[in-house]
Amino acid sequence: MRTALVLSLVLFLPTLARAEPAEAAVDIRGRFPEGVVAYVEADGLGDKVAALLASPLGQSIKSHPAVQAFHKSAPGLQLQMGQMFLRGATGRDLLGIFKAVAGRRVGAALYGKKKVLLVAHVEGEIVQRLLKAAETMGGMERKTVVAKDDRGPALWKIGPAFVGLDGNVLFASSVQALAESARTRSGGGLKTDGLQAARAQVGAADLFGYVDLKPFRAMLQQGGKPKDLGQAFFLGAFAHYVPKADWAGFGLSLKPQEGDMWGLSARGVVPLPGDPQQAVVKSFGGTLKPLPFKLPAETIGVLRFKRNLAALWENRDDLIDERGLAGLVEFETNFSNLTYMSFVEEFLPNVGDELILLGTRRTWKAGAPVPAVKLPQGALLWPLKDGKKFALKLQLTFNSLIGILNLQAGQEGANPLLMQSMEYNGTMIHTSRYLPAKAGEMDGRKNLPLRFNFTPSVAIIGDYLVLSSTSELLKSLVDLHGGAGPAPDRINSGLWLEPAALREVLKDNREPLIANSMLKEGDTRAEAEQKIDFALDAGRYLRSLSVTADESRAALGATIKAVFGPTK
Amino acid sequence: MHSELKPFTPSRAHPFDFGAAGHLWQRAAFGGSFDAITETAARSPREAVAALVDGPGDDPEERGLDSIWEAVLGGGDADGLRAWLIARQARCAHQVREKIALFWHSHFATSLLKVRKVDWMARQYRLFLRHGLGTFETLLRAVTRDPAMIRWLDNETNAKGHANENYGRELLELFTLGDGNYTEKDIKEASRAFTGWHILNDRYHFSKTLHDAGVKTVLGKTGPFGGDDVIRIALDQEACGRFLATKLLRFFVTPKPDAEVAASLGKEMRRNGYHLSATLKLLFGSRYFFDRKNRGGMIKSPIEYVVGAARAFQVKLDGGAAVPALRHMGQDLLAPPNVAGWPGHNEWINTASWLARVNGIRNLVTSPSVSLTQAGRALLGDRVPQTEIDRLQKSGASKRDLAHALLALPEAHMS
Amino acid sequence: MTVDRRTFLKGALAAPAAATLPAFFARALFAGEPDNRILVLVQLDGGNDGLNTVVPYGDDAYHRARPGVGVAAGQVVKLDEYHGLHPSLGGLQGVWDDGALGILQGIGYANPSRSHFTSSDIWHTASTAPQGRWTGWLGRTLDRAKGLDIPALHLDPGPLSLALVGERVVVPSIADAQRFVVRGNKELLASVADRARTGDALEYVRRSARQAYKTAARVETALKGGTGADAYPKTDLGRRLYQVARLIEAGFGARVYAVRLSGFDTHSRQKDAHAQLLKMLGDALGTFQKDLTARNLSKRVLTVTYSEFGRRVKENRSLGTDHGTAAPMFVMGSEIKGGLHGDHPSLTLLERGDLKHHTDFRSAYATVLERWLKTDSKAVLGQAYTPIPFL
Repeated sequence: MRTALVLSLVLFLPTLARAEPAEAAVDIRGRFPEGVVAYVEADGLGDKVAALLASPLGQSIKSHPAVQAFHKSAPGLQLQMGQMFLRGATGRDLLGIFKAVAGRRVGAALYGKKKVLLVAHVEGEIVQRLLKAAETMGGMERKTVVAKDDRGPALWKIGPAFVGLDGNVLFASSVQALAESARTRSGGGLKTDGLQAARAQVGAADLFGYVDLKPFRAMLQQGGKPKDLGQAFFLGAFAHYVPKADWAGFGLSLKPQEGDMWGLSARGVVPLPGDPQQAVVKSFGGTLKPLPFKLPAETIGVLRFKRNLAALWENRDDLIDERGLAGLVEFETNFSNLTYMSFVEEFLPNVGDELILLGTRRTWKAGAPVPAVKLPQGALLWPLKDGKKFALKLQLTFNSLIGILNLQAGQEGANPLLMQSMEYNGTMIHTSRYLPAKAGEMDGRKNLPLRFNFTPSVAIIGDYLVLSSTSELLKSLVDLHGGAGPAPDRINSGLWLEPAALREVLKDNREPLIANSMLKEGDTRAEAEQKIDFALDAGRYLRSLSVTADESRAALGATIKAVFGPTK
Repeated sequence: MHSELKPFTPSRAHPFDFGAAGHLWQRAAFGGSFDAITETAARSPREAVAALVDGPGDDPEERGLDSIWEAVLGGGDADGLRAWLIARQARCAHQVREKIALFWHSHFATSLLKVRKVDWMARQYRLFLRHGLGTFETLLRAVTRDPAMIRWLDNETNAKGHANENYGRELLELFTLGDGNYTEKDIKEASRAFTGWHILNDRYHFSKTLHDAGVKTVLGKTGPFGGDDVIRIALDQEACGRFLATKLLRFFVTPKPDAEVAASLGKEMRRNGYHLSATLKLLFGSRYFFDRKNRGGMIKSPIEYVVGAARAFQVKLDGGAAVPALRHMGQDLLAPPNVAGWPGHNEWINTASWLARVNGIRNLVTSPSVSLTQAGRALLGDRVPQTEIDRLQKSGASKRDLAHALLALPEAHMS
Repeated sequence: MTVDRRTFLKGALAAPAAATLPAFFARALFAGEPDNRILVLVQLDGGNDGLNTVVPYGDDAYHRARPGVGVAAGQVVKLDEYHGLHPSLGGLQGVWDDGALGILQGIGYANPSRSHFTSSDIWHTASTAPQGRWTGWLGRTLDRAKGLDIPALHLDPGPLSLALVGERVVVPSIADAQRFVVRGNKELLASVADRARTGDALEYVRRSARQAYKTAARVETALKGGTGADAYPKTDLGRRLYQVARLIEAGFGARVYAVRLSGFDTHSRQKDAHAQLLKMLGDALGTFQKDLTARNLSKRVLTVTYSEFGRRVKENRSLGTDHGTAAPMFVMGSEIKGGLHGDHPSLTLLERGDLKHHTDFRSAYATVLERWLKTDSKAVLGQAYTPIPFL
């Protein structure tokens, strides 16, 4: 236990017998020499963490049965003993120590392979007490003095690190010269243009990071251009600009929100070149409008892409690699054979500039047999300029596709789909379903095979071409069309998840998840149940999750936002 | 009865000790833990064999695995089913049943590559689990009606006036009598008896109109035989007992069974109505089974090797990783290489498969949860001198490397 | 169930113990045999455009049929006044000049299939009715050469080529020869296999294990210590052929190596894509042959390329070419008779718009089997085919 404690908390910190100067304005940035390859800085984490722990969310996590159980377990008790020891040594609890060591501004920079410099604004006195405690426990045998100044020893070598404490500034480096430089410098540092620009683009954040991408350019470009239309479409401008970018910045913020919630957001940015290539912006640019559908009940997630397929097609030579291009023409031929229309001349000019994918939980009729694995249902929505024009061709295409599938099924003794077209609330819909399972197929099982999750269906709803994995979802989209859905703000592409509905889908599939854990982890049923139920329960803290991409004239950004809330 | 098949009675020269008990666990089961082998060694051979063949009454592991059957089948994926079968072999307490099921799978050697339906393959394997220790006639009648088998050997196209001889041929050659114990004419006539044995709605279906109800002469017997009659006639042959006995001996005892022992065991099988659990009790309890010349001389199949290692080391096996690893080692469950099943023995080992074994096991079975000494004893019995294992432990290698080295001992690939 | 299968089963059941000769016997067997020749098979997957590979530039009909994708007469690597190689095959010029490159023209089979799948199966099984065939022509060949430890190696990330599937041989298919490397504590592993054992089977396992470690060590040294890798183009094919050369040099023991170059299904805008593929092929093959000569191995190695079909004579509207029929094969090696074998198929006497083959692909196989691998081709191919005099 002793060793663990020393290692985990104070390994790299020296004992210092130096007079402590009065607290003054502390500039840790000024201690870094120029030439950073990457830089990370945390600011004010101490207060944030304290506020989180004190909040209802923090309390709720603390009182969670699993956390309580941990406190009573052997490692939990060990941790408590360690805490008591540290309180005796420093007069602070763990949070207090965290605040004293890492709670204010901490920066770490990378200057090259294995060249790291860390500078932190600490409470010098607490650090000294910690070190003394560590020394009494015998964790500092390998400490040597490598530099002195007029006040005495100023730089130590502890293990692989060079460490010093100058009042309330703690610094440590893997390289003596960097540590020396941090000890003697004041002012200047971290003035690189890219770093400044990244800071401006990321904005206020509890944790800020910067990476100079120039040294990694060859690596980033190794992947080459997107390999096919799909990759180019979904990766969008990122695939094009990230390999060309000079730097990348990222930020992490933790903020309290209404209703006892806490939001965690992570944002990454890369610069757009001064004169962005028009072609690329035309293909991938723009921001999303409000969704012209109300979201169906128990929506798990919505995935939206603002893309101009016609512009992408026009600029494909720039955006897709050579082999991919060769495949495109074949795609074009297949497309026209299957859909009875020219991809370039008829389809592209008429297709809108957004693609929407959505998934919802499926509810099953009570009493009737259900599949053992209950998949969510999904739909793909594509706006058209004139929906009516495509109605007949859509039906033909659907007929052809189901026909091809059935022909294949017939050859392999697999199960064919039965097609049906009908009018539903004024919209013509085309659906298909599997015949009920053969008697023998249900021998020795109560639940249906996987295929009964699917009743592939299509329709043109308003001006949207809609492909759905089930007829139920398609019908509910017919009903919900025209209502106003969520309106994203200056977003180009995004994924919005509803964790509550997702959790319900996972709960529907508790059995398959348990089976998977038993077979993959080798668990007994009891062990697997415990694992799965714990994960499902922990999921209750997550209230929403989104991943979005946005763009301004100067930068391309991606943001992940998660909102957590206390559980009742 | 051949004297070699008489019950093994331990003596000072041939005690029923840890080594002998370990041998029983290796061959009749997929190996045992140190504790299980120690416990077995404390019993008499007769009790020990009966306990293994009959299995315990209730097994929570098996209940657990049975409880996820629907989820495994509902996923519809073959590797999931394979992982389930491997989990059964590694964890179910009634080990002999799992082992004999694997024997029947190789005996009937139906492959998913042709059948193309995972749930049919699942259903066939469950026949092996259900009837594997019962009478061979019950099993054979069920297998003959099994949709996967009907498709595998093309009996769907076997109809009156247009006989497809595939099933009739394999029934006599591979399932009951063996080459040389029937004529081409027997195959033709036997095949007629299975005309109209087809599939409808994913079940066995007897089509009266496509069945040839005429008089057939099979193996010297004449009559308007149906399929079950042909099965009974085949089982009445002396050759059938000998053939099955030889296959059992080759699977459980030695690659080169003594012909007289095989003939005698065959006779016993015909006498006990081809009852497998009675036959296995006789076999596992015999002098022949425990004879030193029949110990440690068989090369383990990849499944026996991997599952046995996990059992000896008392570690959990990741079924998701084990399935592809076993494939690399040369044993893809549900896809035996051809109608004759896995050839086994020396064919399991060549440069590629050896490297697949040694590289594959390193990630599947790492440090034992019991002591290395106990794990080694469970794995190797008395076949590797303790001094060798001590020497290894003193080599200063890491715990993981030591475990790996134990599993790379040639003896660890033998039983 | 084919006849081959039945015969095999009977044999297998009659003599189960004589299954395979242990590897160490095999090595002894072949070490004493001077004729340990090696076949390297290069599959051009997707249907290589034969007309743009060996270009009949002297034929107006060619230029008429291919105004968009054709190769201009001035660009080809001239072989004679009629034939030229695609300019991207410049890497083969040296091999041609040395007389080590043979071109078998007009290769195909009757009633050609235009399905990639079926036609590949036909080429691999050497049967024009491949349904239900389980074995490939080389698999059957290697079945006959009993006792090879690793009879052949398929160096490709994809599934094993059907050509190498036999009744009894097991051919490893690996993306990279690195797979033959031992993971873990090599010394410790080798030491536990080292102690002498009693008992036939145990001794067999021990020797197999030692053999495997020796092979792995040889592969590792061959791949790590080898020089000359830099001379090869930095492509998958280049890397694999380098590995093949090193493995042969290190005495890996396989008689057949198979590699694959995919992407030849050039339906549209084929010019750049096809040129790129041929450059990969020509550069890799040219370097390989040069390297084999430098390593003093060229007398032992024959390299053969094939593709499931050629492409139509007339280009399509997408500046590509669609599935066709007859095409040329390359054969390469210092022991072959270089040059053109057989006439170029007529560009005017077509069969439904396709070239008519004049030589069955199994004639090429029979030549390789009889005159290179010294095997009874009739037993492998089911009947006799007239050999092509490149060997």
